[in-house]
Amino acid sequence: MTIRNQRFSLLKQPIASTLNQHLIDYPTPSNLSYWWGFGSLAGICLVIQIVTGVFLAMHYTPHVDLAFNSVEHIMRDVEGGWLLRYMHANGASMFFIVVYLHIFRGLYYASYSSPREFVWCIGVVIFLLMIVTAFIGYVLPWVGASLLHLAALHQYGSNNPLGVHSEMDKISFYPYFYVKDLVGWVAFAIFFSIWIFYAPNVLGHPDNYIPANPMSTPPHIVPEWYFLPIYAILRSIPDKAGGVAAIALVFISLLALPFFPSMYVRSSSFRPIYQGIFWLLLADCLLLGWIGCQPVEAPFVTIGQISSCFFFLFFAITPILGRVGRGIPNSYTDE
Amino acid sequence: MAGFLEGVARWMIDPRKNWLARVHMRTVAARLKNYGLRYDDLYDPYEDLDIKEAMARLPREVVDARNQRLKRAMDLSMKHEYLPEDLQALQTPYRSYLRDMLALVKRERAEREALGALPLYQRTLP
Repeated sequence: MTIRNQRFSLLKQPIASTLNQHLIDYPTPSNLSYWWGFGSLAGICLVIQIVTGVFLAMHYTPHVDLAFNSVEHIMRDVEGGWLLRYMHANGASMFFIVVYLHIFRGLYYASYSSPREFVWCIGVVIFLLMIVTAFIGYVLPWVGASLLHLAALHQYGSNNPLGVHSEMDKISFYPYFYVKDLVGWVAFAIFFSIWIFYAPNVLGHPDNYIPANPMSTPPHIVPEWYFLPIYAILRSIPDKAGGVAAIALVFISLLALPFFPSMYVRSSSFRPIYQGIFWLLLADCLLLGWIGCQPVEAPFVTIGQISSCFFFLFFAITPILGRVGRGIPNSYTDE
Repeated sequence: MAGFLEGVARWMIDPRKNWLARVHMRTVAARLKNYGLRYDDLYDPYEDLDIKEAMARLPREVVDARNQRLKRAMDLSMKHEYLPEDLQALQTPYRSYLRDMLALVKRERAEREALGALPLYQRTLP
């Protein structure tokens, strides 16, 4: 008899039974690929950022005249301070890499569609909070949001690569997907370590090693790489308020995605046109990222404006595809 | 205007009038045959409660066959394999078993709404 089947098993008792229900015996579609591993990886990145952030905060001085030197003090004098700093700085980049892959996986397989609209919306809120947090460095708001995201996901269970109803072929989360996720975590640890130990400053900007001088503005201000696509959209609108409105429209479009008219077919595996515009969206986001770090001059301005239009075109086309696609089953026949 | 757009949408997805629709039909058919699925198998009862109601009204053997196709497809997907070529040749991806019943369920729901009656089932949030 296994431990779980025993009458007085610890896993059957009140709090542990919740752990068992959601992390051990949790029914999971059998065909989840490694693209479904980025969620748990994002949780690990969150823990890394919180732990390194707390330890950094023990040595950081939040004063305008002392902050820069306190960071140098952490790097040079604090035992392991260089590791903490590099883990936190590169950890933010890793967090965004993981989350962007997670978001694009959700877009490709239409994991946002009914009945998982709430999961998607909480995810967009978490993404927005991540951006705000990365920008202002304040941690606390989104720990609760992450748990809510997981709880909402467990309402109906995960989507799967085929996008079909998966109740007839589910297996327990532990040990199968625990081991699969562990592979992802180890691969991530190696990837993360390469950045920390061999290229800790590549993803940053050299200007961050110059103390801020209000009398001398750096000639080429550029945000962190993970802000660049949104920064490019902001800059493509000449009007200041219009640029902010464009950023708001990005998040409004993401939040509205699950509520657009859609076909009953989810996964891009069976939607070749949607699959094509997904890849165009990805290419467009990469182009926007590149435009974001270019100066505001020709031809980058024009390219940025066209790319921004294409970005919003994805959200304009998707409901049209959904509406038109509803008629497909009635007109297609076996040859 | 709505009628015109409706007409354009119908033309776009009619494989007899539009060669792009023919290409799309064959592409989707090939992808469905890879996993031994029918188009109606892609409909998820979790996505729309009308689908759940329609499936509840279908004969048991039809639902069982659907579940067996889905289980086979998920197994193939998990192994990153496709159905053998000889079995793919026997597939009928556009043969429907659900659409007529679904249309009936939707008509009944629309009639209930038009008469001001309460719905028989509702989506819970989330």
